[in-house]
Amino acid sequence: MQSSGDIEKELAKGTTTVGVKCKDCAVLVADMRASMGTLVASDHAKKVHQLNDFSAITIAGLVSDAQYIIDIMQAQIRLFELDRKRRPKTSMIANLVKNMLYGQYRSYFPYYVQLIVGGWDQTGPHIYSFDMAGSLSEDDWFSSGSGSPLAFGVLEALYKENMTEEEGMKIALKALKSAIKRDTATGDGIRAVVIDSKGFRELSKEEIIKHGGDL
Amino acid sequence: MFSQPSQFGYDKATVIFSPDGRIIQVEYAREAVKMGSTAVGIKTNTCVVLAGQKRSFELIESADKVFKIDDHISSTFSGYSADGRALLQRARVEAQIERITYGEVIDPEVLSEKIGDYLQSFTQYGGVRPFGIAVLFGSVYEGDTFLFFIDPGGAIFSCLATAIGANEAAAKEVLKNGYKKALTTKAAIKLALDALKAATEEDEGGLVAEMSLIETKTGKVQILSQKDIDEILKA
Repeated sequence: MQSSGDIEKELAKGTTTVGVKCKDCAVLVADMRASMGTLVASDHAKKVHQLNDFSAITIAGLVSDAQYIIDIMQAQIRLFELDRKRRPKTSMIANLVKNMLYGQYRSYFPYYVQLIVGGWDQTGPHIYSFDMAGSLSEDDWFSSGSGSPLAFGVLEALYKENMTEEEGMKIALKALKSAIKRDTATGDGIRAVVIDSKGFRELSKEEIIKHGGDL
Repeated sequence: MFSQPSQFGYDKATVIFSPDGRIIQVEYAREAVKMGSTAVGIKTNTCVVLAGQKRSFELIESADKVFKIDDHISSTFSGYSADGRALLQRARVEAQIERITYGEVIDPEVLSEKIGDYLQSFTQYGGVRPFGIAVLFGSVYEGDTFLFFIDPGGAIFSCLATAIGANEAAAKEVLKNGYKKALTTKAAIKLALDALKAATEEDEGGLVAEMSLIETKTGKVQILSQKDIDEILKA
C-alpha cells in the first residue's frame, strides 16, 4: 500500500518554470512536458496561467492541486474586481496564494506545488515565489520545478537590474533551455508570457524563437 | 383605531413586512438612534473630523465617544452603546482580516460595506433585533478623505458632512450653513464643535467633546480630547 505522500511524488510533474523581473515588465516562461516518473504524460502541458489582466502564475508539482489553486484564485480576483471596482495589486494576489498554501499545509495535506506569481501594478512589475508550506518571498528572479537548480545557475550569472523586456526574456529562455537540456522531466516546448503596463500577453512561437527560445 | 401597525403585529419581527412595505422594527431602531448622544462627521479636501459629546452622569465617568478602528480609520456612533461597541469590535476585526488576507490596509468603503452587510442581516432573519445604532466611519485612504454614514438597516451613504443622534437636525443645519470642501483643519474642528453645540444639552461644566482627526498629510487617526481641541482652536 502506497502512502499518499508516495502517490503524490509519483504523480507530481517534473517541470522548469522561470520568472524574471525587468524594468517595466514581469516575464514568466515554462516548458510544456508533463512527466509521470519516466513517462512523458503530455508534451503540451500548460504551466503558465493568466490570473487576471495584469497577473499570471506558473505551476510545478501536482497538476490537480495547481489547477484547483488557479481556479480559486481566478474566482477570488474576479470577485475582488467586481466588489471594489479596481484590480488587486500583485502583492495582494500573492498574499491570497500564500494564505491558501499555508492553510492547507497546516491541515496536514499540503498542496504539492511550487508556484511563481508575476504581475504588473501601479508600483511596477513584481515576481513572487512560494513553497508548499506557504512561505512567500518577493524576488528579482526565481525558478521552480525539478529543473530549477539548472536554471538557477544561469539566472544567477546573467541577471541584471533594470533589464528591458527583450533582455529579460532572453535570460529567462536561456535558463529554461539549460534545464530542458539536462533535466529529463523538462522539455517539449516553451510557453512565455510578458506582463507590463498594457497587461498580460502571451508570446507566439515565432516571438519565442526570436528571443532565443528555439529548441 | 387600526392605523397603528403594532395592532396588526407587523412590528413584532424584522422578518415581517407591514402591508405598506415597511420593516417596522428597523424604524424603531432608528428611533433608538435619535435617543443616542449626537455625533458629527465632516470631510474636507485635507481632513476628516468625527466629533461627539462625552457625556458625564452623576458618579459615572464619561465613556469614549470616538474610536480608532485601524491606523487610517476612525468611527463614532449614536444609539445603544453596547450595540455600538460590539459593532465597532467587528469593524476592527474586519480591518485586521483585510491585512492578513491581502497584506494591505482596508479600503474604508469596503469596510463600510462589510458592516452594512452585517447590519442588513439583522433585518432579514428571525430571532434577532436590528442594531440600535447609526455609525460614522471617517478615513484617509490613498490620499483621499472618506466619510460614510450607515443606518441601522445597513444602508450606506457617502457624506460630505452629517450628524446622527439626538437633535441631529439642528446639527445638520449648522453643517449646511458652514460647510465648504476647502475648510482648513482648524475650521473643520470649529464647525464640528459648533454643530455639536447646536444639538446637545451642555453638562454643568460646559460641553465636553471628543474628536478624531485624520489629515491627508499623515493619514493617521488622532484622538483629540477637549483639551487638545481647545489648544488647536486657540492656535
